[in-house]
Formats: sequence, structure tokens, C-alpha cells
Amino acid sequence: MNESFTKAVVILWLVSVAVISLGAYYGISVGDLGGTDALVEGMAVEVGKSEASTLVSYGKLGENISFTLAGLFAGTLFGYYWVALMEGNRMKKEGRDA
Amino acid sequence: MHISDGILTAKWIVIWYAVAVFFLALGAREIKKHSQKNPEYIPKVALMGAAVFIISVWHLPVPVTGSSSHPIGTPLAAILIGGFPTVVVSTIGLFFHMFLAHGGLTTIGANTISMGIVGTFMGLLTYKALRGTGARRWTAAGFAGLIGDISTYAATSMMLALSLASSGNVIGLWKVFMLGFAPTQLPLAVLEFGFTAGVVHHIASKRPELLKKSVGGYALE
Repeated sequence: MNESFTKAVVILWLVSVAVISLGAYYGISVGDLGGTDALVEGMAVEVGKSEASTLVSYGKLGENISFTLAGLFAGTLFGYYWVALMEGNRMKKEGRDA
Repeated sequence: MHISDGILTAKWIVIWYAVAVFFLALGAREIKKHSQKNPEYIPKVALMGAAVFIISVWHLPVPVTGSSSHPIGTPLAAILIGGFPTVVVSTIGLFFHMFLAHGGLTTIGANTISMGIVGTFMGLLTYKALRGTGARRWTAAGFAGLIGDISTYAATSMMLALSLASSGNVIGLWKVFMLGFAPTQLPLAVLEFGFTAGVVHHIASKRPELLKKSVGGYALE
């Protein structure tokens, strides 16, 4: 049971990363779909005659890698708590039965 | 939308920080109150924190418009953990977004207001209003996602306009920024309708007790 659950989670994890990575690659590199955040920020910079800056700057590849890592971390955290919360009733029931 | 450093003027940075800190204090107090009553509340807050963090930097391409943007996730969080606690998880998410080259230190207050306060409470008010008229739970949740998403970007546009307008042309500038967002954000708001409705419906059918107001949620009145 646990082994099949782990397998399912790992497969889901890999598929999600692959789909998101392909989507990002298509969106940014092939489709050249820049973000609206950057678009509107560009407009604001022009109006305010200012210069936008961020705390860190990784470049395109670095940004993709950092987003993937952040997604993996947050996804793992989300999955952990999701299972803990959604399975709460079953676990409580099993605990009582045991 | 994450406003970067260097765009807002000092006056507005201070104003938005002050408003955000007020809401954060209320949020921290509410989290403490609920977690003392219910041990399942903290995992729920952590779950929504992770969800808001990742949903709000999840850039989705919208090919027709030739651009990409992200949903916000805060209306969903507000329905599940309450409005003020959602402000707290949004701010934590926005803090970590800085290390992904999104947003800025001086603009955390402004970004918290658009995503964490306006998006959250517009979503929550929509949900409550629709439930009050007898709408189904998933419909109310979906519209909360849609309205919360759009209002976040409307608020961001207003904050940019307020800070940058030089001679009373705030509304004109707001329209310009909204036009920049709208074509890409509207399809994503529809997507936000779908997943907010889906998640709330799923939780309501599997663990309805998680949605009770007594444990910080709002989906079951």
C-alpha cells in the first residue's frame, strides 16, 4: 500500500515537473510569451522615468531553475499537508480500530 | 503582479507598508486564536501557505494574447483559512518570491495589499454574498476566485497609477495599466474560477469539517 502510494506520488511528481517545464519552455523560448508583470512594469518605468530592480537576478536559465526548485519544494510541502489533512479521518478511524 | 523595487515613490511605499502591517497583526492574532482551539488549523495554514506561494508565481502562457501571467490563490486560501490569516501567508509567500526575482523589499507592503488584502477580501466577500443568495458552494467559490483575481490586478494598477500620476490623471493611468493586464489576466481569472470551485467542492465532499467556521474556514456556514 505504502509502496504503491510512493510510486504514484513519484510518478505524479515527475509528470508534473515535465509538463510545467515543457509549458515554460514553450511559453518563454518557443512562443516568446513574456509575462504581463514585466510588460506593465515596463510601462510604469516609462511613466515614472524610474528604474525597476529586484533583490536578485539569475538570468533566464537561472530563473527557470529557481522556479522549478521552488515548485518542487512547495509542491512537496503542499502534498504532505494535503495528505495529512485529507486522510485525517481515515487515519483516526484506523487508529481507533487498531 | 509583483511590483519591483524602484517603481513606487517613498510616500506610497510607507503608506502601503502601514496598511499591510495593520492587517498582518490582525492575521497573526487570528491564527493564534484558531490554532489554540483546533490542532488541525496550523497544517491547514501551512498547506495554504505553500499553495499561495506556488500558485502566485505559476506563470501560465496564454498563447492567444501572446503573454503569460499567474493566478493568485488567495481567494481559495481565504475560504479555507479565513481572510486575515490569508494576509499572513500571502506576505510570507511574497517575501520568498523576492528570492525568485519577483517583487521587491520596498514593495512587499504594496504587493501584500493587492494580492493578500484586496484579492483575499474581494474573494471572500463575493463568496459570502453569493452563498447568502443561495448559490451553490462551488459556484460561490469559483466566482470568489474570479473576482479576487481580477481585483488584485485592478488594485495593482491603481497603486501604480497613484504613485506615478503626476497631475491628477490617476484614472487615465489606471486604465492604461489595466489594459496591459486584462487580455492575459481574464483567461487566467476563468482558470482561477475553475480550480477554486474544484478544490472547495472536493474538500466539502471529502472532509467537510475542515471548512467549518469554527476551524477557520468559511465554506460551510
